[in-house]
This record gives sequence, C-alpha cells and structure tokens, in this order.
Amino acid sequence: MKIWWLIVSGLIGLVIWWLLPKSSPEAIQASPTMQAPPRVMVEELEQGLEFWLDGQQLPPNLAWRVWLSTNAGAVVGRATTTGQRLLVPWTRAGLIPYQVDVGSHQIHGQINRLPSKAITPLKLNIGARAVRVNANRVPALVLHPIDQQGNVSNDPIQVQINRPDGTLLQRQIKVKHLLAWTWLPSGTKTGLLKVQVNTQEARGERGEVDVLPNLTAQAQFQVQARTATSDRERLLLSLTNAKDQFGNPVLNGTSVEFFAQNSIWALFSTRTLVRQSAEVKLPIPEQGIFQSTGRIDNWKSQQKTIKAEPNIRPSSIPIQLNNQILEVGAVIDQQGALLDDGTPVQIEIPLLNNSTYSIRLPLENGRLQWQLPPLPSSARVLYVSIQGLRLTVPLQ
Amino acid sequence: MTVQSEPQGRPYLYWALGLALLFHGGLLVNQSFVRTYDALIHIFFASHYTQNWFDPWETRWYTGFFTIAYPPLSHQLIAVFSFVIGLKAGFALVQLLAVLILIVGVYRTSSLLFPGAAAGYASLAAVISSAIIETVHVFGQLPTTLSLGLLLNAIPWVWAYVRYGQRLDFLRAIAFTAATTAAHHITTIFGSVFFVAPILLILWLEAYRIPRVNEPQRWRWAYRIAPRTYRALLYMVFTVVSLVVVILPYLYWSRTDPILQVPIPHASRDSFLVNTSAGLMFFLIPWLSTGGFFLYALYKGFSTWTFPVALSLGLLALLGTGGTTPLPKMILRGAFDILTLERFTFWACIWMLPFVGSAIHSALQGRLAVWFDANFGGRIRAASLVVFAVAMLASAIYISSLTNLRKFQPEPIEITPIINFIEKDEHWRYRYLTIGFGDQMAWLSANTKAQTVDGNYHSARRLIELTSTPVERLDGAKYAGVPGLGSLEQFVTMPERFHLKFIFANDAFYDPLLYFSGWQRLTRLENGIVVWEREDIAPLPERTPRKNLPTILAMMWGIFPPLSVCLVILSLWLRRLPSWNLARLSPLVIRTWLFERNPTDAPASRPPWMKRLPALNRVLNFQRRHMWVRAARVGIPILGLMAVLLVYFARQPTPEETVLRYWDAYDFRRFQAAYAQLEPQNGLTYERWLLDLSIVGGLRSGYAKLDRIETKVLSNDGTRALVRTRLFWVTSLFEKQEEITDTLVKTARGNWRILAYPALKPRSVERFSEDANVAYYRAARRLTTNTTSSFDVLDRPQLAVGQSRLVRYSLQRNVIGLDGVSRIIKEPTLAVVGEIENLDPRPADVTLTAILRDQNGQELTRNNAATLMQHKLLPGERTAFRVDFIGVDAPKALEAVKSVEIIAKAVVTGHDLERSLATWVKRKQQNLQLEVSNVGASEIAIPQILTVLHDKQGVAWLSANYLLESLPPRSQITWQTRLRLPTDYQVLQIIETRQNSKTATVFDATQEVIRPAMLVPMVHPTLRGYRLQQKGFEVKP
Repeated sequence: MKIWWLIVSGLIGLVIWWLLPKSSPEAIQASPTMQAPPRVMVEELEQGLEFWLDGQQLPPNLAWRVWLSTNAGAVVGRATTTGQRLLVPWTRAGLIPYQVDVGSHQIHGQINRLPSKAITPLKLNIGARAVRVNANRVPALVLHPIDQQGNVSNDPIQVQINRPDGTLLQRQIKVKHLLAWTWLPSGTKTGLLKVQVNTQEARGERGEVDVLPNLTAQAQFQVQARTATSDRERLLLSLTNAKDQFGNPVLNGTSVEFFAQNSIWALFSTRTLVRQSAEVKLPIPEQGIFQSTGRIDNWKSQQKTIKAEPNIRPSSIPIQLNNQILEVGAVIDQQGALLDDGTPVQIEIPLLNNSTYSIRLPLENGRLQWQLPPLPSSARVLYVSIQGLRLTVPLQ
Repeated sequence: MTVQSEPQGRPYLYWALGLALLFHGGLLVNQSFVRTYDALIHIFFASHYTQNWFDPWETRWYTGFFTIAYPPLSHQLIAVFSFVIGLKAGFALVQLLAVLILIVGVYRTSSLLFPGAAAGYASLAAVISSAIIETVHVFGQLPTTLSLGLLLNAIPWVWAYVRYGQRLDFLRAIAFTAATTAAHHITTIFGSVFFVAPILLILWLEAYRIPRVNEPQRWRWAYRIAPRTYRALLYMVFTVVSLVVVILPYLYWSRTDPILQVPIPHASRDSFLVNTSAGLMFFLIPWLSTGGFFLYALYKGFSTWTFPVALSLGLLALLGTGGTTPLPKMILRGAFDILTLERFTFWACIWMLPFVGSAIHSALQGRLAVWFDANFGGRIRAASLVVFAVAMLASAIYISSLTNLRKFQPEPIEITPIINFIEKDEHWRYRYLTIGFGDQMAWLSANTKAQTVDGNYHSARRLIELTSTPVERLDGAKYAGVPGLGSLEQFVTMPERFHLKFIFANDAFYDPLLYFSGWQRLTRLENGIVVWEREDIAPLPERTPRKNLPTILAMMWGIFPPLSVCLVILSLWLRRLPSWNLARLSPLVIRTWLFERNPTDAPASRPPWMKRLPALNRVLNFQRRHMWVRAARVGIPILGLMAVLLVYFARQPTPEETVLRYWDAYDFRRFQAAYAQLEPQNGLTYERWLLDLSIVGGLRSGYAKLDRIETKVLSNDGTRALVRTRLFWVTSLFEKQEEITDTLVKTARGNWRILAYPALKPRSVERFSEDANVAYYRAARRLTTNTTSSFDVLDRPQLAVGQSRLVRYSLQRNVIGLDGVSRIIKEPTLAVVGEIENLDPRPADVTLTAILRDQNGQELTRNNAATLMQHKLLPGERTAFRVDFIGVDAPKALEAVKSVEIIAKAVVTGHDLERSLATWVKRKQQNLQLEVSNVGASEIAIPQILTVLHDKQGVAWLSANYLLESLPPRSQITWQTRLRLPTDYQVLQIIETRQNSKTATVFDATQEVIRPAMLVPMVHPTLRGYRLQQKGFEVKP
C-alpha cells in the first residue's frame, strides 16, 4: 500500500512541477552597468546574416538577441557579449527589419539583402506549348532565375528564339516583380519554335513551342456527279488540299463534315482529315438529285449536285404469288447481270393495329422463293423492296 | 432428460469430427471458398485487422467506413493466423475450426434432448448436412457458423447451470455467449429466442413437474420453478451485459450514424414458387438432407416435453420460406426487408439435426425399425437406409461442388497484374472501381492500399449515391436492374467527385456505358482484365476526410472480442471455482425460494394434449403385413411417380413455348439448345447458323441481357403459326424493346419449330481498300518522383461553349399501382442542353459540368454530361450536350433553381477519335428512317446516333439512339427513330456564353463562338431543323 502512495504522490508532484510557471528564456536580465546602447553591425554572408555589437564598456556575459521580421515570421537569434558574432541563418533577399535587445536597450534597423547571381539550371515555363500560327493565343516565356539561396536573381536574361520560318530573334529581358517574361511570336510557318535562355553564368534547357496551322482558309470539295442506287455502288464525296491562310497544310486529325440532301433524304457524316484530305464513300439509298457540301473549320464548300439513278428497272423484277408462295426473280441490273447473292429483299405485310410483319431475305442466283406465313384476315397487301425500289403485291 | 447417456454417442462424435476434417478440411484446404459469396469479404476485413488492429477506420472501401459495422471475432482470428500462414489459409483454418465447433455443439445440444447414441448420429448428420455445406462451401459464411457453433456449445452450460446452479457452468455459459456475440451478435439475439429460450422452457416445464420438499400450498408451481427462473434470469441479464460490453462500439456507431440504406432486394425474401432459383438455393438445398424428417421432428417434438424445440423449429422453418407466404412479413414486420431470411432456414435445419439423429437411432434399433419391418419388410428398411446414406453423401458432394457446377462467381481472377498496375506510376493515388469481379473485388482490396468507391459490405456505406439505390455492389450493378445501373452511372458520370480514375472491367456488359460516358480503354492486362481510364481526374489529397471513434471504443473493439475467446479457453481450463457461498448471506426466505437445487429428473410423462389426440400407436400399424401388401406399398408410389414424370416429359410445347425456349437458350448462350428450336431452311446447318450468329455482333448479342419476353400468336392454322415476340433487353445504356415476328411450322414429330434461313450478304466491290486515319503518340513523362515537369504538360485545349439553356420537361414513368393497374406518371425534371466546340488544333477529351444555383448563388446540385455528348472531339469538331438532373442529382425543389453555370474543361487526348459512320436519313413527319453505314475499316460494335433538334436560339434538345447490331466495314443497317421534344418541354433560362472556357489558360482570349451547324430544315412550330451526330464503339482486341 505504501508503494502506491509513493507513486501517486510522485506523479502529483510531477504534474504540479509541470504546471508551475517557468522562467522564460525571453526574460533577459538587464545589467545595470551598461549606460549607452552599443552599435549593431551586420554583414551578409552566404549562410545568413551575421550580427555583432560594437560599443565601449560592454559588460561580459550579457545576453542579447536579434529579432528579424521576415515574411516567414520572426526569426530570433541569441548570444552573449562574451561570445563571438551571432549568425542568423536567414538567406532570403529583400528588406529585412530587425530589432536587437541588449540590456535595457532596444535597437531597430533594417537591411536590404540583394539576390546573388542566377545559377544553372534556369527553368523555363512556356505557355501555351502549342499554338496556331498568327492566332491570338500567343505563347509566352516566364522565368524565375534563381540564385544559390533560392532568391530570384536580378540578372538580365538573354532570350534566343528560333522560329520555324528560320528567323532568329534575340532579346534581353529584365527581372521585374520577381519574374522575367516575354511573348514568343510564332510567325506564319508551322514547325517547332525553339527557345534558349541564359544569363552571364547560368543556362537552361531548351524550350519548345509547337507552331501549328491556323484554321482552314481554302480546300477543294469534290463529288461523284452521277451514281447508281445499289448496295455495291458507292457515292464518293471528298475534301482535299485543305490549307490555312498562309498556305500551311491543315493539321491531320481535323474534323471534316460531309452533308447532302434532297427533299426526302439527308446525309450526315464526320470524317478525319489525313494529309489534307478526307473522304466518305457509301451507297445512296434512293434515286434523285442531291445537293452536297463539305465543311472544315470555318470553311464551307459550294453546293455540288449528285444525280442518283436506279440500278435496276421496276420492269425487270418479276414477282409472282401462287398458293401462298412468293417468287421473285430473276432480278437483273442495268448492265444485265444478276444481282449479287445476298442482296436483301425486304418484305413487309401490314397487320392490325399499325403493326407490320417484315422479313428481310437474301436473293440467291437473283431469285427468291418464300412461303407466306398464316396471316390474319386483315392482311391485304405485301410490299417488296429491292435496292430502293418498292413494289406492291396484292394478297389473294 | 437424457444427458446421462451422453458418453454412448462419443464414438460417433469422434467419427463425425474425423469425417469433417477430411470432407470440409479437404475442401477448405483446396480453397473452394474463393468461389463462394462471402468468404473473401471476411478475408478483406481480416486484412484490415492485420494492418490496423485498433483503428477501425478503413479507407479502401466506400471512401472510408468503420469496420465496427461487423462483429470482429472471426476476422481477428483470421488476422492472427494470417501472420503465420497467410490470409486465405487463415480463413480456411478458422472456418474449419468453426465447423468442428459446430459439430461438437450439435452433438452436445442433441444429447440434452435425446439419448447419446442419437446425439452421435446427429453429429454425423451434421457433417453432411446440406444446410451446413451450403453455408460453408457455397455462401462462404464464417461468422454465422462460428457464432452458431459457440452458441450451441453455450447451451449445455446454460442448461447445466439453470438445472444445477454450478457457478463454473455459469461462467462457461457466459463466456461462450460473449464469444458468440463477438462472432455475430445477430446469432446471440435471435439465438436467444430460437435456441436458448426453448431449452429454458423445457427446463421450466421439467421443474414444474418435479416436487420440492416443503412446498407451500399456494404458489406451488412458482415455488418449483423459482430457482431455475432465478438462474435463467441471471444468465439473461449477464448475456445482455456481455452483448453490450463486447459490441458497445457497434451499438454506439449504429446509434450515432444510423443506416439510411433503402431496402436491398434479397432473393431469400422472394416467393420461392415464383423465383424458383431462390427456392432452390434458399429452401430446397438447405432442406435436402433433413427436410424428409420434418414431420417426424414435429411429431417427436410435440409428443414429448421437448415441444418448445419443435415449436422453434416450426417457426424458423416458416420464417425461412421468405415471401412465399405473407406470414414471415407479418411476423417480422419492418425487419423483413432488412434481414436475409435464409439464416432462419439454416437455423431450422440445425434444430432438425437432433431429430434426424433420433430418427436414425430409431430406424436402426427403435420403434421406427419395428414399424418399417412390419409394413415394408426388413430388406426394404435396410435398402432404404443404404439409399438414404448414399443419397446424403451424393447430395453432400453435389452441394459442396455447386460453385463449380453453377457459376455463382466469375472465374477466378489472377490479381497480380492488377496489383502491379496499381503500384506502377503511383496509380494508387487515384480511386478505382471493379466491375464483373463478383466477390473477388474483396480479395483485390485485401491486397492493395488503393481505394475503391465500391465495397462489399453495404451496411457500412454512407455515400448517398449508394444508399439511395437498392444496388448491393456497383461491381454487379446489372443484377440490380435499372436502379443499379443508375447508381453506377452516377459514379461513371462524375468520377472527379470521387477521384475515380480507373475501372477494372471483367464484364463487357458495361463497356457501352463506359465508352459513351467518356472513359477510354487503356490496356488489357495479362489476366484479361480491361483497364478503363477517365482523363482529367485529380489524385487523392494527402489526407482524406475520416470519421473518428472515441479512443476507448476503438480499444474495446480491439480487446474485448479476442478476450471473450480467452475467457472461453480459461473457463474450460478451470476445474472448479473458489467456494464463495453467497447464498448464505441472503435471507432465509430467498435462500429457500431461489438457491435450492433440484437435480433429479422429472417423472416420465407426456404433454397433456397427447391424452386428447389418438395415440400414434393406434394409427400406425406395428403388426407384420402380408408380403403382397408390403410389395404394393412400395411399388404403387414408385409407379405413380414414374407415370407423372412420363406425362410431364411427353408433353409437346406450344408455339409460344418454343419461341420462349429459343430466346431463353439464346440469352444464356446455350446455342445447341437454341438451335434445337429451329427448323433450318436452305441447308442451314448448326455450324452455318453459329457462323451467321458470330458475324452479327453488337449490343444485343454481346452487351445485353433479356429482362423478359412476351409472345403472342398472330395466327395458327395447325401446321404453321405466326408468333410475335416482344423482347425486353436490358443494357448498361438503356432498356430496349424489340419486336420480332417468327413463322413456326409443326414438324412430323409434332414439335413446333421456328423457320430459320442462312444469312447472306452481298459482296463489297472493294476487295482491299485503305482507310487513312491519324494515330497519336504522346511522349512519356520525364522519370521523376517530383512534380511533373512543365515541359511534359500539354496545354488544355481551347473550347467554345455555344448558347445553352436550362429546360424543364416531364419524365414519363410506367408505375403499377396498388390496384395492379399500370399508370403513366409524369415527373418534372431539369436538364441543361447546349453545344460545345473544340477550337484547339489538338483533339480534346472534354468534361462538361452544369451547376444549378439558387437565388443566393448557393450551389444546389451539379452533374456532368454523360452519354449525351461526344467527349472526345477532333480539332474543329463540335457536339451537342445534355446534362440531366435525375435521382440524387435532382435539386430538392425545382423552383429554387435561379441560375446555371456551365464549366467545360478538357485535356489533350489521342484516344477514340475514329469517325467511321455516315447516315442517310429519311424523314416522314416525326419519324426518321436511318440508313447507317460504316465507311471505315473496323467493325463498329455499337453505333450511337445523337439526334440534335435546333430552334432559332440554338440547340433545343438532344436524344440518343443505339443500334442493337454491330456494323461491319462497308455495310449498312436500317433503324427507325423519332424527332420530338419531350413532354411538357419548357425553356426556363437561356445561358449566354461569356467566355470560352472557365478553365482555359490566361492566353485564351479568343471570342469565337460556335459556327452554325449544318441543319436539315424542318416545318415545325418551334423547331428550325435537326442534325445527326454519330459515334461508334469499336471492339479492340
């Protein structure tokens, strides 16, 4: 039991000791012997600022301290008059107010620490890194030349710009508000704009800007003027020779839109520009005359006319319906050939309630034979569609 | 009571334990549990305890959750063992221990009710109990088996203490009960009602029948049961105290952070007559080995003083029937929608085991043997017992291999490539999501520090996007139907909210949703898992938000559950307790009433109702019958059963059934069964039919599941029939209804078959043609662990948002009312529609966000454009967009919305920039007939057509169409759609564009706006024209 009391008493004692106010290290005992304040001397070193006191009759072992008022807060250093100089490890450039407490005296002052020479590597910030020629998104170079201590150096920067058109621009830019910057005019030719920077003693890696073509200003739109309505014949629309206002080839991958329409049908297609050209090749669903256009960026072509004619004649489709068996064919095209095996024949039979029985069957050797399913009495007619031609067959 | 004969059953118990070691141990050592439902979840929880025993906050699931949501004992035991043998082996060891404890518990509890030999047979029956095998080897439940094993071992100590009053028995009873709680508190709570209470009731009834010395004339019955009542109450009080102490952190958490989860459907709550698969899993299989003894158990129970157990058994069996009858819901009320009811069936099957042991004992050497011999003959009895044993063994083997025979989980996934991917390039700094992993997502989580927004224990989640929908896991969202997919869509649409950058996909079903929502396929790993990535997602902050639990509770969670196991071991080790006779301190009257022990057995008697019921002896005949009578009693039922089966299988399906069978087989890829329903024409062989199927890919065949099928016979002349079929497809993008009309013929064998023809396609005139495209290379970043060099960062593309608008419209939903009548209800909804263009010379991956604000500028809600825009834009390309505010994204009051802000941002991309579609459109009033062509060189698996309606002020509306079939190069497909504004369409606000992009760099000073679109003019009161945008999802190897 006694041992417990001892432990508890000890713990309580520890807590009380911990709670008692301690003598603060800031409480500097003033010496009554020093009458006049000493002179405060400061020297800038690589490692920081070195302070020392210069005065007569400095009492020995007198504690003194230095307060630096910095943008990172107060930085405090302490020493005694017996000791050596006081080094405060503050290396940032700028105006630094300080206060020295010695004895009963407070001495105020300030020091303007200047940055030193910029060091290698200089780190370039370039934006934008890809621009169109002569566009309003002009790239710029932004640079913070840093000295050994991490301060922005005041050294002037030499900038050398190699443009894609071969011209060389040289500039000297000054550091202002802790940064140096300049526009990088890209010119009118596409390619790689190269930027090099250096100061007297420092260099950086090369910076680059991709100078890309501007929006399309000229192109050629072509269509196949006459075509046939067949699954196998294809209408061709193409856009070629796309260039910007300076004659630069428009960038690969640019979107190209093709559009065609008549009073019934309309075509929409988006393709990708590759080596200044894009095309779309597809069957045309019905005969007729269509107006077509192509568009890329702001450039839109003139309308061009396409005439589509049927691949087969209605009179060349023999159809018979005997004993619920539908026989189609042989179907031949304009050239007198059988239609390809697999050419779809769409059969539609309207039923009750706006519903339709439809089936798509292929031609084989130009022919089709199909037995009708048992149809409700409401079925009156069936439609046969082949390559855009639609024929009506009354049901018996 | 029969506990005195208990040693007679021990040889059987030892055999049972040996068999369990061989059978269950063999399966567990072979890691059969990786294909079960829950095993890997418990392993994940165990992995938490290996890393943070005392910190219950787990960041790897649900953006952070408390592991105190699940009782920890089994997980902590796995964690302890895993330090030596690893997590999976640790699980196998703990599960094996749980099974052995359970078998011992069955034996010990059975010996309270029946002779020791019967208890021994019960333990043998437990080894091959279909319920236990299913729970362990199909469901992978560990806490359930461990806790029930502990509870069944607690019951004999409770019985002993209440009967004899020994304090050591009390200590053991409480220790086992506390351990039960630590393993699974639900077992303690429900087990108190269904397991402990019947035993206490039996003891009370026994005490009532045992006279005590010096009984008072009045309150004689109370005097008899008083000591046992006192001890039972003492046990119950300490049970509650132990429950509170052991799981206090859980109680605190559930009180301070209550679950707001909407009910998640569970098949155990379905009607097993409707959902027959659920009936198989949750009724037939568990009852397979013991269900045949149910009537025997009820008779045996209710004809003796053990009827409380039979009553409990009957009630558990009833609750286990789920939604088959309304009774479970009436009994459980609100809890019906929270509990998974298969555990009641499991408990019922466990209570059956003592009766099964008794029945076997009786059939071997009791009255059942006599009755059997008299009515069917000794050989039939012997044969029946052999058949029974063989059938039980066969069913045990069948059920234990069920996870191999029927795929409950995806094929095992080798996670090493995923772990390598996560570790590479600090991918763990982003969250990920798995889809199609099943419960293996838990194993992945257990092996990585990376976090997922999903998880596998829904009681712990608190994200509104998850708790507001009945989806159990995003990983299997499709199984929760439209609500589940809606929940997944929220995460896929706004991944930046969750720092979700990667999706590991093991199920192509979700590919369309991911692709059209702007995700891109990054790579296919060595294990076949496809990695999807979303651009422009910020990494997780260094410190993610977390919730804190009071330190004392966290410490309790780490200490008390394992302490309960230590207490169990200590209590078993102790032989006796110090003799503190507290009874002597109490007044005499209390001593007389409460502390007297009455260890004698009650006189043999039967419950009073047995006197009123005709004795079974009179009903059952124990006299030996003639041989012909015995043969007829065996033969007639067998012949009757065969006749029923013959009639059932000889029946021919109708035309509708034939169509249903075809589509059912097609949906589950049982192609031979599907082909069997066809009547091939023009030489359509099976191989040719498969070839035809293989070239028709697309949404229907690769990314959709049939939700339901409706058929209608349009005409039938006895030999040919026309059947219209409506197929209701569910895809990750939408629900689609397809209508097909088939002709069926009646074959010579009398079967209806669908007429089918070979597919023929015209040849392309282009034999070998080129299709130029642009591929992009992006240089790798400089190797550094510091911040990415500015030289490696590409400019954000310059975008222009055109005039946009906030619109209000009505979503129409089909709702079936209480009267069963289907009604269409209108739900007012907001959307932002507009147009955006990529002005940059580089392709852009665009994220477009719309924010709705109130009159004070406070944000009400925000959402991104999902599938209703093209996210990857070529230079100079534009897209219309629509941002919907539906579900949890909808503002609480539509009227509060006063302003809209649109934020568009983009990064340079080189992915998914192919443009290979061209569409001819034929308009007839509001109907559009589309002739979609693939003009590229790759197959388009899913063509998307966006129909954009314009009025005088710009884009008025946007809707999407997805074609069901794929589109090979140089081929066309026809499609129908409609041009229309939604119901109750109303423009609330036109949003003028002030600048190109909120996130554009300072150099983006251009004032360009969207160039006019190419429009087809329309004659419409408000609309000026329409145009189409097309995009195709290409299948990549």
